[in-house]
Amino acid sequence: MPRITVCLPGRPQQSVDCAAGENLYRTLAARRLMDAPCGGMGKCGKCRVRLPDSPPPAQPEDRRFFTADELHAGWRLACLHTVEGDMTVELPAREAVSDIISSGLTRPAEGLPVVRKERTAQGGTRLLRLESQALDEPGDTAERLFGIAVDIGTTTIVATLVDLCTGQELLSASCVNSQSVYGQDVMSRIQYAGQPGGAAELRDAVLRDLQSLLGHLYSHNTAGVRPDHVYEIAIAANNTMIHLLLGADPSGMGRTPYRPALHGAQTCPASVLGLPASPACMVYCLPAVSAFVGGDITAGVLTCGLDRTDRTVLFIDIGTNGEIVLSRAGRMYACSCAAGPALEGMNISCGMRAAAGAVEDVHLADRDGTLTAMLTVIGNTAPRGLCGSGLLAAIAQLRAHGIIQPTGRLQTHPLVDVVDGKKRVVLDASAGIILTQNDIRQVQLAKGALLSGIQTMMRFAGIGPSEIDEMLVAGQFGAHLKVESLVGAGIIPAALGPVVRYVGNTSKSGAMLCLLSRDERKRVEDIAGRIDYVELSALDGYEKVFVQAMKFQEE
Amino acid sequence: MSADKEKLLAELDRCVLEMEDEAVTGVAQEYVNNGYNAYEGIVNGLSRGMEKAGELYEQEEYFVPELLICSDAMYNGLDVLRPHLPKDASRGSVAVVIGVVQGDTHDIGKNLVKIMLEAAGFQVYDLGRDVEPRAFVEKAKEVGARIICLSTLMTTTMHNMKAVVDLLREEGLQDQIKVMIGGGPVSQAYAAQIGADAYTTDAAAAAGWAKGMVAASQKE
Repeated sequence: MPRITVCLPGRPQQSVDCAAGENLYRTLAARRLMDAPCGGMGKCGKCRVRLPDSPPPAQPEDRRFFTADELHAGWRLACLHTVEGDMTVELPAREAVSDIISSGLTRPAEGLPVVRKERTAQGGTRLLRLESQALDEPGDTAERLFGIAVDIGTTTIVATLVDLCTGQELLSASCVNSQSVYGQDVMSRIQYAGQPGGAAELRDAVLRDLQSLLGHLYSHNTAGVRPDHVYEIAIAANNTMIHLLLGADPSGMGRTPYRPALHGAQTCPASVLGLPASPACMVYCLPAVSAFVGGDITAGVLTCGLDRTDRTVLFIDIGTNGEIVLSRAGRMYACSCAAGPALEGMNISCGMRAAAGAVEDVHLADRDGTLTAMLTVIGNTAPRGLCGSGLLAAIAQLRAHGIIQPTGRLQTHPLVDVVDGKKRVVLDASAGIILTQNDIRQVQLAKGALLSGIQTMMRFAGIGPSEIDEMLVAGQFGAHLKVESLVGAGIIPAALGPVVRYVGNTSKSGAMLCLLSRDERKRVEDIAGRIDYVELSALDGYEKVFVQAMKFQEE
Repeated sequence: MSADKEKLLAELDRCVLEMEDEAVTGVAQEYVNNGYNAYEGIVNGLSRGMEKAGELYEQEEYFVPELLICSDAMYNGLDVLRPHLPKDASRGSVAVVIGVVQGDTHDIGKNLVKIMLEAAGFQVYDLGRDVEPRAFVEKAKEVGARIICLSTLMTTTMHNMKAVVDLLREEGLQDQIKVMIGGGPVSQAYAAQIGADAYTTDAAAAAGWAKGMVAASQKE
């Protein structure tokens, strides 16, 4: 059996054994030593490794991502190569995931609780779920009544321990979703689930994550909460995550007409998922609207009250899939836009995650008569790449200075140079931070998808941007995007700039409401049924709207 | 060639390249009114402009919106010129079958490839989107196509590209009918893995590969 010696900067060497002929990326990913946005398809170039001893011949994709010198030094994409014998692999420094946003806008839960406790005549305590007897405990445990609200994102997972008597949050814990090694978007996960044993691997990965988060909550809370006293778990997540968690077949969501296998809210005993909790503990998963508008979005709609508003409110969660809900006095439309991963740094030449060294903001300023790019870098270190917020800030600034034309084309300008006939903006020459014409094109595809989604929702509601009273930006990624960047890069119409409000992780907030109240559950189920889902790719004339929305000018 | 004809050909070319999708109709009309050859108007006028637009796309100067407006201009011009083509004008042009594979409905990339193939003089049979693997093979056999072009945007439907390649193998057609694939999640490595003949990154490159393939096979 071949042995791989893995060298990580600043960490002790590790040995990994695997079968000959195994894919190098899969081998490393399975041991959580790396993950790549494309999940090992040779597309994203993020699984860079150096093979110092007799590297295998470079593949065409290797040549796309490495210079001749780098190839000569043994740099390769791990996903393109197999393990044939003993080898040494050097990994680049890892990008840590930035702070996970575990909190968001919330409100007090309304209505009657899901579970409650009462004392019995015999001196014990009875647990009632929806007013039916669920469990009898000896002694007085009336005040030991806890639950856990969970948000399972494609990238990150957050769990919060809640006192069900008071509604207080006691402690939160978060982690990266271990399924990330199988690809960073839901489509890669659905595809992987279709491989032999793939669905079970993905399910085990997320269950392990949940078990370890719950373990952390039990060992670190100061209220002495034990698993025995946790009786309810509520989970909000996109529909792919829910299918994988519950062992349902997600394949129908991977092809037109994008049909999920599960419909409505789902419940099952926590013991079935192997989650440490009371034997009477039940898991509740918030209902989805469609394959790509999931329980994470209905949770947000519930939290923000889009169903009961008398105003016109646009709710958006920006990510690889952008989900949009528009409510006009409670009449709700939703769509999902395939924005692609460009805004998260994939397919961007200097793209990276929001980690130390990432440029998170860009400002063009006049310095002694020369326009100069001023970069704000996470961790105040030398810049290593551009994360999503930096990318959009750069584009907004270049657009504002006319260096990017309305069509997206770069003008001739001192900041722009030409290499191999292709234009690029040099943001930091010494650190090699550039923005290429192709990077701008990738952002145009993403922004075209999002803006055309917003425009289509407005068309269905029969309104223009000036009639929108409030625009709520939810989710991990959107929280880092400034209003100037969202408007300046043309992702949202300018009229919406002044009404933007960031609401954070409303997915978890919605899960918490459903943890606490059966009336909130009824309400979210009503929301899921009431939202009109619009499948953009099936609309006549959508292509024209999308293509028009790729341009930077205002509509 | 008369100076007038040459001027009008250059004007057709320019109208397409510079996205004059309305003006082109008048120019094409003037061209046929003068009794000039419609086939030359297409090949040396409209298509030339579209190919230049494709080059600008490859150089990243033009993007999807520009390419589509250029193609609007090309098709508006074609609407005027086509009725003046001799009946057998499409004979001799190489047939290509194109479509988005089964399960996927994202077709903008496919439409761009189709435009560039038409500009390059191919007879393109567009099967649309969400197309069954067998339909590609049947159509290719029916029209005597030399190339099948497959597109998808989704990781989850890529395997249907392999299904088409496998069907061609089963029928022993892999030498007569070449398969070119493209789309977001597709790569050179994937093309090699499933035994497709080519992977191209954009519409202009796709038309370039198709032309090269035909030229090479004619030399043999």
